[in-house]
Amino acid sequence: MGRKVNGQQSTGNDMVSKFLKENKQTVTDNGFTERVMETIPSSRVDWNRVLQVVCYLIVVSTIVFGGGWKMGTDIFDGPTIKDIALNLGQTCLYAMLLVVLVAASVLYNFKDGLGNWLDELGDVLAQFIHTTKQDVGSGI
Amino acid sequence: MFLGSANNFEKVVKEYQAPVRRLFLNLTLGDEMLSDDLAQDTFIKAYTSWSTFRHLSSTRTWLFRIAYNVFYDYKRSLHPTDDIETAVTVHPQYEIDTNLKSDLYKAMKLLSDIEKICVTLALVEDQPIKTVAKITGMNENTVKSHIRRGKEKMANFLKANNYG
Repeated sequence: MGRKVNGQQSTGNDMVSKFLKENKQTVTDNGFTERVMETIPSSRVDWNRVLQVVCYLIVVSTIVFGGGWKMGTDIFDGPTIKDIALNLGQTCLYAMLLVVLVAASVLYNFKDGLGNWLDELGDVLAQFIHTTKQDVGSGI
Repeated sequence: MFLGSANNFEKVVKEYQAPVRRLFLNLTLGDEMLSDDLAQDTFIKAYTSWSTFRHLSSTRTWLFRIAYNVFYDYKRSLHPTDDIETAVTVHPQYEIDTNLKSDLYKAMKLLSDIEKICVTLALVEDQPIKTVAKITGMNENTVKSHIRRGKEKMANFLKANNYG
């Protein structure tokens, strides 16, 4: 910090920008995040977890009460090809429902990562535009 | 992003603690304890008001906006009649603090609060003028004016102290 640039001819603006860049503080966490996490309100409902549980309950209920279990056991108990063909439509429906629910749950969880990625992309684009503007001399 | 989960929120704090704390360090002229207190308030407010965040701006911009409001509230609590755009000093203790930690804070001390905010966001955190305007609620020309004045003051300080 505070490294002086002797004998260098630069405009006031360049000098200030350079000075600020050279003196930019590196802020390490040093337990800050932990202290924040200890003070956040704990009564907040974790809707992510609630949604997960609801999805799992729907899937399990569908299998248990919707005849899915019986269909499964029938198939594995060695029914005829005709029986499988008859049940295939309903089985597909259950399979699709299962896939949709699981996919919804997974997407909901990975939404965090997607959001972060989009935020980062936005920041990078904003900084790129800002830098480009400075480069062409239209900056402040 | 969904902040209902504490784990997800922890990631946000870890990712953005540095820029938020650096902003407060510049505003408080290096008072680490005060900076951390204000940064902590910022993240708690972010956590409790996440449902109002519509992702029309980036998380960084949104957090800077909250930080700006937290600092504004802090200033108002110290001097209820002061306006953040005209106030020059941050805290009474700095009036007698002649041993600031670095030339950065000595230079920052010459700036008004709003000049410190605009200069830090634009020149230290590389935020575009448009974003700084959004964070501070001012129009872009006003932001540019604050940055220009801040730079002039800092340039004079640097020239007087053998920089450049």
